[in-house]
Amino acid sequence: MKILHIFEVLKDRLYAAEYDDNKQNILDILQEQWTDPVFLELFFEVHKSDLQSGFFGAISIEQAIEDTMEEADELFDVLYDADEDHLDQLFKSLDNREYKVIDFQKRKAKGAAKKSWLRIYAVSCNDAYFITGGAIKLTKEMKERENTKNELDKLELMRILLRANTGEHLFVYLNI
Amino acid sequence: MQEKLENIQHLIISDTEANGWRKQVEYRRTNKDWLKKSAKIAIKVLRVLREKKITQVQLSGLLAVSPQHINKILKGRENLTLETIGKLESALDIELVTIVKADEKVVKSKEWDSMLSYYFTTNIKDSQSPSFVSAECGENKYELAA
Repeated sequence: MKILHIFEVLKDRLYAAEYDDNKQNILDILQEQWTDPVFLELFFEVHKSDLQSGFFGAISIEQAIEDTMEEADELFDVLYDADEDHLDQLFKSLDNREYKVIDFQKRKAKGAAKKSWLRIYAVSCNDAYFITGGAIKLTKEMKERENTKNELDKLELMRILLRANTGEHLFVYLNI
Repeated sequence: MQEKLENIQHLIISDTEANGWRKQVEYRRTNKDWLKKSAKIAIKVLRVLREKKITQVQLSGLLAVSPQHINKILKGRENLTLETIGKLESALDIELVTIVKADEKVVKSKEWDSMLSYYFTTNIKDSQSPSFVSAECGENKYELAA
């Protein structure tokens, strides 16, 4: 997988990746998938055992699709209206033990519901966030399922790209 | 910021018009009422198709419309006419739209089951066997032939 382009979403603060396997801005892809009953019905059918493991209560696939669509609309509304001040609140550290925003840190934005399974992933760098992808996360650990494991790979890919190419860190990188 | 990203500048597209999701957010905000209903219909139809093992292509044949039209319906992006809804209901033998009359109430099956369970538990205890089951929920009273 290769990053083809990086779209500027919010001037100097928010960017979104485009990969060579699907030539579309990742936010366009996520929004299309998360508001598409055909995609969601198949997704929840495949991941039925995770959905109905008990953590999310007694939930039907129909309800899961409706909840996802509603939360996706809310999450994209927040992104649409986001200004500089809201980004740090929206993107929390992927590692719950980290509280400070530092460069090349893996971050996540979640849906508003308490047990929301929607995630948008990003890497922080120079006061900006670089969105790498997103997922419907139904398990505790990202590495447990293929769809979330892929997101870890994409985060790492962006981190390597930024670490190697951002001006002030180039010197550091070359000295490793 | 841009100067700090000079080494990946060739990858960056600054044209915000290229962010299609923004236009979609605007579209979904403007049309949210019917989009929500269209999605609910799509979800119901998708589940019935899976249950009855009917493909989208077969459904398009049953409705005499193009597979592209069916795909748009199932993606919840079609502003459905009553004619199309009627055709879907007939083809799949399901009910998609119901008008609730003034003297009718919609009760979730879970609530209904718990009302019945409550009734039968009480009834067995009291050894009564009325011809009607009656249950009260808030201001509403429900009756069902026992």
